[in-house]
Amino acid sequence: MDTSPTMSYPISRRNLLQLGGLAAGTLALAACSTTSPQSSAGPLKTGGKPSGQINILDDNTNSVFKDSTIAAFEKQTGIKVASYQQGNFNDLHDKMATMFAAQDASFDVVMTWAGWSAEFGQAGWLQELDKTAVPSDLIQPALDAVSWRGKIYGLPKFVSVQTMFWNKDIYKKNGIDPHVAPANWDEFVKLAKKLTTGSQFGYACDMGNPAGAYQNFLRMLLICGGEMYDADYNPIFAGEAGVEGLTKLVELLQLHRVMDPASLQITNASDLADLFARGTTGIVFNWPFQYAVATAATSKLTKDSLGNGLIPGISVTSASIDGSEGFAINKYSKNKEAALAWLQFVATETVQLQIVEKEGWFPVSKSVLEAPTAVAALPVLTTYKETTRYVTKRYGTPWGNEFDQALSIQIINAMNGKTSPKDALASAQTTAQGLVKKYLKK
Amino acid sequence: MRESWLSRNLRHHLTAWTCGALVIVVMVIFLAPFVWMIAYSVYPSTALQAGVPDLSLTNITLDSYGQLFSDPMFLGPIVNSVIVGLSTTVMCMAAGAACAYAIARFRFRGRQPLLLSMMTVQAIPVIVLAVPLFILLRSVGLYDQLLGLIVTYTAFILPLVIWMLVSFFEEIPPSLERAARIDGCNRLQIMYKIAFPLAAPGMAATAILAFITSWSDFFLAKVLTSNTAVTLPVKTAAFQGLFAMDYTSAATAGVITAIPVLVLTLVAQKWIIRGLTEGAVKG
Repeated sequence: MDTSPTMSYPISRRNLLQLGGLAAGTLALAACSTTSPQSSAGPLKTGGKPSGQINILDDNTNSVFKDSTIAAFEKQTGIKVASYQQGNFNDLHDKMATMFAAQDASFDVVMTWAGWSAEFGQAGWLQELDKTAVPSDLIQPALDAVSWRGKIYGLPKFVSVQTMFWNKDIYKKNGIDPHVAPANWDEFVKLAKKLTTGSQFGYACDMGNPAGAYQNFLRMLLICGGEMYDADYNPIFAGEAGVEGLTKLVELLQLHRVMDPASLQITNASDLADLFARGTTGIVFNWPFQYAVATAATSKLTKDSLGNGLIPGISVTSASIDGSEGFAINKYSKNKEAALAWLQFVATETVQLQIVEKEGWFPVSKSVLEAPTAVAALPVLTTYKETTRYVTKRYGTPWGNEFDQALSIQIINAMNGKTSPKDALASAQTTAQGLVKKYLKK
Repeated sequence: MRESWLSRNLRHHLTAWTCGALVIVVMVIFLAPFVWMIAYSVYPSTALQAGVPDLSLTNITLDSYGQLFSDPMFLGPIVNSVIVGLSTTVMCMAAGAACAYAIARFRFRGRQPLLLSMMTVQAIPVIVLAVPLFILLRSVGLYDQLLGLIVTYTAFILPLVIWMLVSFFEEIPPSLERAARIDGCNRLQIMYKIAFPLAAPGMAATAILAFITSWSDFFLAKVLTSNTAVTLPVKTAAFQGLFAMDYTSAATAGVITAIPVLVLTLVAQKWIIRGLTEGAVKG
């Protein structure tokens, strides 16, 4: 007699199938219960008097919106901002991609920048805006951050463009006139050489992560008069201008030895800003917030010892890269008109003035760019005004993340002398061609 | 003879020293990032970002810990993580122990395929399930809710719990349970009075593993929460912005997140390894 506690409890095949069918049905039902994709009714235009409520998803770059803009918007338009949520920039991408893929309408307005405008715009997840919805006062190059292939998917909330910052104290110490900016790259290199002494470096940058490597290369490409892609998005950055730009960048580190070697490890613009504020670096090219960091109480510099000017060019007078942010409208939003009202409100002179004065970003509004109070609060605005005369680009693309990874490996190899700039860029361009083919289905 | 002994002794010592040196190298590789994270949490970032890091003891400060623990925006995610971790563990253990006992003791058709199919769930990349999970939770009103996270984690962790517990239950000699049956215990009493106490070390290890898995998850918590149910790993990542990175706060939050995992792993490492390896072999 078997006294083992092991017993037999057969589960019938029918029961098993019923259970499986029920589970699959529940899942399928849940998936089908979402709204079906909306057919595009064309670009969104301003019209009527929007009302109701909106929900906004933003990154954590700005605090002015929750501090005062939302209340002012509600008072002026009668539209209620039911929720304003802020998230870490790096987390927002996955969160937004999931929401869009699920055709979720929880948020009417979402934060965007050049890369996401391209990626989400191409996927059909952002509402295209009609040109008439763009405020006439808007600085047109700022639209680059919210556009992709000629379509406008949002409005910029602030402009971020790199300019050159220098330490006048170090200039003076080395017998250089601190009030004159280098007119071209050769002058810049000469200056950087004079400024490099002992543990003090003439120049530093942030190339430690893929995005940083891309940005530093793009800046060099643009000041050499080059372009990343042609009109059909064929990569052309490995041409003469690209090779010259990367060669000049490598020379700063390997030949002239004016670049702080830590530049290859600095992964963030804020770290670069901190490094400059410690007073041991002569020149950096950085975003507008460098001004606030360099003139803070903890900085070795003061307003008087901070110089600011255009980035010196090689084949062109100057050029710069763009890091502007904007707001876009969720394609599945139930209240797009009210969402557009928010986008337009943020671009108004009143809000833009606050962004300049309280947060130190460049405005998207022409009138604020001219406003004496804005210039007094952020003197580097004068340089930005000059920058608008020259090329400022970011080349946000749906394949940006993948491309940055591939390019950064090649750039760092070139910087370390493991490969020539020409070979590095040729290899990166081959990768880019594959990515363009994949994403644009060429 | 003596020479041979010497050479054997020398060889023995050389091997031991080589192994010891290798262990130290491996430990340095694994521990260096963690030590650097601790350093960032107790030193001002300016001291560490200088050309030569200033690691003098006088610079050490616990200010960042004080700041984080006094910030309600940080305490909320800690509480959320504790609730989610403990609830998931309780649910996984309650359901998993019963399932595992049944699989270990009862013989039914499809027992082995059932066990194997449960483990295949673990092979599905979480990212593939993100959108369906989002839709499912949203449609039942559990998006950005702690309960939504608890249910999701339970679904993902339960197969692993069952897999581990089966191996522990199978180790218990059936004769003990037969004896209990002769003494008048019914099946439930055998489970609670014989099987569970005997498998207690294994169950504890499994519970710890379940807790650690739910406590450390980042991706699902990021996708399935928005504001109210944010957990500690998601909050930790939020210290990095597009233009700026608060290294000190991020490192401090990282240490706070890692400490429970570290302590629990050290306590239960022997059982965890045993549970995983036995489960893997026995199937």
